[in-house]
Amino acid sequence: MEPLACRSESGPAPSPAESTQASVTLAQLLQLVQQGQELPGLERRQVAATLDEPTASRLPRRPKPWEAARSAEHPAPQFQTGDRGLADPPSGQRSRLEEPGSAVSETPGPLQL
Amino acid sequence: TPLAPPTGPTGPTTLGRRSAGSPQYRLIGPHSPQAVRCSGTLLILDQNESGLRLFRSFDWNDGLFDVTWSENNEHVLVTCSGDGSLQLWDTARATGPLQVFKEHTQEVYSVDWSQTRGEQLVVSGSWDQTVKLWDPTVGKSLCTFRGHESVIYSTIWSPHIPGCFASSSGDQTLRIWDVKTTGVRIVVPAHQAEILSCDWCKYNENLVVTGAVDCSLRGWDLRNVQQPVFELLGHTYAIRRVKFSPFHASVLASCSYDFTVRFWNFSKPDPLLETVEHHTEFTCGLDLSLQSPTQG
Repeated sequence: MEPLACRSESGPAPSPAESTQASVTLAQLLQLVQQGQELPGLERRQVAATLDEPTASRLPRRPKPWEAARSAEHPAPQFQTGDRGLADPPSGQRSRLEEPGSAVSETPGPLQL
Repeated sequence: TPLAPPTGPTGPTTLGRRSAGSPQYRLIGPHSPQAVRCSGTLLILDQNESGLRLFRSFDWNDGLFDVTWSENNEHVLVTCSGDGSLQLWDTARATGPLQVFKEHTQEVYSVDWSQTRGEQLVVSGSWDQTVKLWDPTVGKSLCTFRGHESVIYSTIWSPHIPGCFASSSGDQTLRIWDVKTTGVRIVVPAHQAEILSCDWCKYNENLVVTGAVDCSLRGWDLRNVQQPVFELLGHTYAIRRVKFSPFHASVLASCSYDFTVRFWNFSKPDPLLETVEHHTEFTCGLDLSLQSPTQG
């Protein structure tokens, strides 16, 4: 997905005489968009931050389903540093998992890098 | 029946109840990508027994690509926009946003609020190829993470490892980062196509899933990333978003530009559980309710 490289802030402002009912052909519209120009009839919003404080919270944070399952017997593991470097890119074809049932062990273990 | 897409995440204190047995969808409202960026709208929905109603809507100057709820305040959420900024909103106020964070130089495609206790951090991923770390109470980013060589589509916190997040990119890699260092920790060349989405398993802290333009989902054990531990095929167009179930260790959901949402259990010999078809609109976003379990 390539982002369209138009900048809506650039380009000349529409002339005051330009009617908000002005219509353009599709080709003209595409050209305006590609050149980053203002589009006739387009309402530009000017929403800005209010800088207010958030409404005070009244509800406690509820544990997630997986947190309830793990409970205090399995405290969150620390992220461990280590000597292992970046994963080598696999050479050649990556093989598809032969047995979908044999996936990852569900016993959590610390992630060590 | 599912609601019309696009969908977004449910808040940590989801309003209303949902009958058991089917996933819950939530609209984040139309965003205007690509050709004409004029404005975006954030819709806050309330659900009760009689259905879904629009609680409030907020407008922003440009299209909105993602939304994430605060973990410590039920009123607060963050969106990210095509103009490169993040917005902090208060659903209890009619106007907004409270704050605007403008640093990214291109579209911000992904935002996520940290899920581990004791930290209130937001991570953003942008088409400017950087990830930024934010404290929502601080105006400037805390840190910028560089390394991706193309647009970033997804940035997701680990639900288990504090300070750890994953990112997926148009550079075809999944990367794992740690807020304590600015350099990447693990690089996984996960697909030979752009990776539009990734997510962490909620019951195995080493397991991450990626969803790519090659229509496949792959599971990665971060202790050994030489090859995927599972691969799920079935979608016929690019995977737009993938999410692991909050309730089941081996269940996940995916949505695709093929107009379907699919549910999978990767531990089964035939992992496809269900295909849900939408005939009229793209399914762009997806999340799973924390209130009711999905189908097992």
